[in-house]
Amino acid sequence: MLQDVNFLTVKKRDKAKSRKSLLAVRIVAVCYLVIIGFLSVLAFYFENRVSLDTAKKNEDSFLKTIVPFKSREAKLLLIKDRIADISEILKRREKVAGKERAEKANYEKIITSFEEKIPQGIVVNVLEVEESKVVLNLSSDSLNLIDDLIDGLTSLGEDEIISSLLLDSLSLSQDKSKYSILLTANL
Amino acid sequence: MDKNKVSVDSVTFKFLYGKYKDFRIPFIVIVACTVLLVGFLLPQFKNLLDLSIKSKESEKNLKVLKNNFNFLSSLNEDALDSQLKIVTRALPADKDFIGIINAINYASSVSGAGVGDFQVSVGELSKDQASGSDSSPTSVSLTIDGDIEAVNRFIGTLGTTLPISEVTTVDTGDFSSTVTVSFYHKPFPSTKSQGISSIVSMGSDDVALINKLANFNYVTSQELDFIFEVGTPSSRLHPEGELR
Repeated sequence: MLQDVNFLTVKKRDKAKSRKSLLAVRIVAVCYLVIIGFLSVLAFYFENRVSLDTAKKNEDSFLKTIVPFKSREAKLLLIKDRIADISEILKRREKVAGKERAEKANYEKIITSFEEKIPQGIVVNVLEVEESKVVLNLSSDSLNLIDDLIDGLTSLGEDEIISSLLLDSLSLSQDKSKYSILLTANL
Repeated sequence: MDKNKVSVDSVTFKFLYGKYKDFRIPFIVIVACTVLLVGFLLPQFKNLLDLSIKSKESEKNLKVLKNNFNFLSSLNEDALDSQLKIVTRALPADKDFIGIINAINYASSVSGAGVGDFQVSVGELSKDQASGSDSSPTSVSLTIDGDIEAVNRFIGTLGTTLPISEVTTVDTGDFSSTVTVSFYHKPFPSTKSQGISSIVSMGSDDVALINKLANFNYVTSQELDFIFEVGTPSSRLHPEGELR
């Protein structure tokens, strides 16, 4: 038979332990309640403080005020939209061939440049200007004039208007009175 | 018999209840607080956070709207109309065949280069009608009676005449030349506002370009008839349609 069993002591110990646990749980519950209460008050305070209504009302009121000026806004947007496209077309048009080879050439400038280099006495049969090349079909009764022409056209290369000049053909007419020359200048 | 099965009889239940009776209220408080935290407070704080972001956004929008309002109210409506008219003449909303023919006739009249036959490539009409957004240029192939100088003068005049055009090929001969010109147009884009955004004014380059375009020639059919009656104009036609 067991002699050292003391039921009374265990019961007291259990009760003390239980009281301690109860106290701890109560403290936790109270703290939890206080924190939740504090957070609720905080939420309520912020909800009142951060009011979207006023800002929304102001925004709506301004949107109404701005309505009569909507047509101005639309016109401005249309102008800017068109200006962007026009600017692009004009830029493309104004770029001088040679300097901006990737872009299309300015035909007026090219024709003028070629025109200036063609000496008096040379007849232009065909002047064909395309995006990347100029084809010239000329005739002259003097080889010296053709020489001057080639010298002149070569100087266009120095001005970066053309990148290369090719003499495709040089022929003499049957009656030996006229030289015909076919030139291709790459832009 | 299932060994894992625990049977709690009424005596045991009463014993346990009696033992943990004092824990009831704190336990209920903790559970209630947890329910309150998860079910109410956390969504409320999330909502507050969203509200705060929206409020800031709204304030920002209001600021943008105020700036837009001040800017738009300072704009001169007549000046805008005039600028829109100029840019629309330069880049019409649709294929402006009358404008194209008038520009060609005007350039021919001013440069003294007679325009013979001309061929117009209209482009994809069905696409234009269906989508309303076709902006492919109208290509016009012109036969010009004249030498290089006449063609050059013609190209020069056409270059400063509205609508905007671009010469794509030139083929000149002794007495006749062929010039291919592209005339541009662009359908009006949708101006439906996409949210609240700040309106930016035109830059100085844009204004300069509009002024440049304002100095370009623009002729109406009536003015062209007048030019043909009077002869080659020595004076430039004012873009607004008056002779100066």
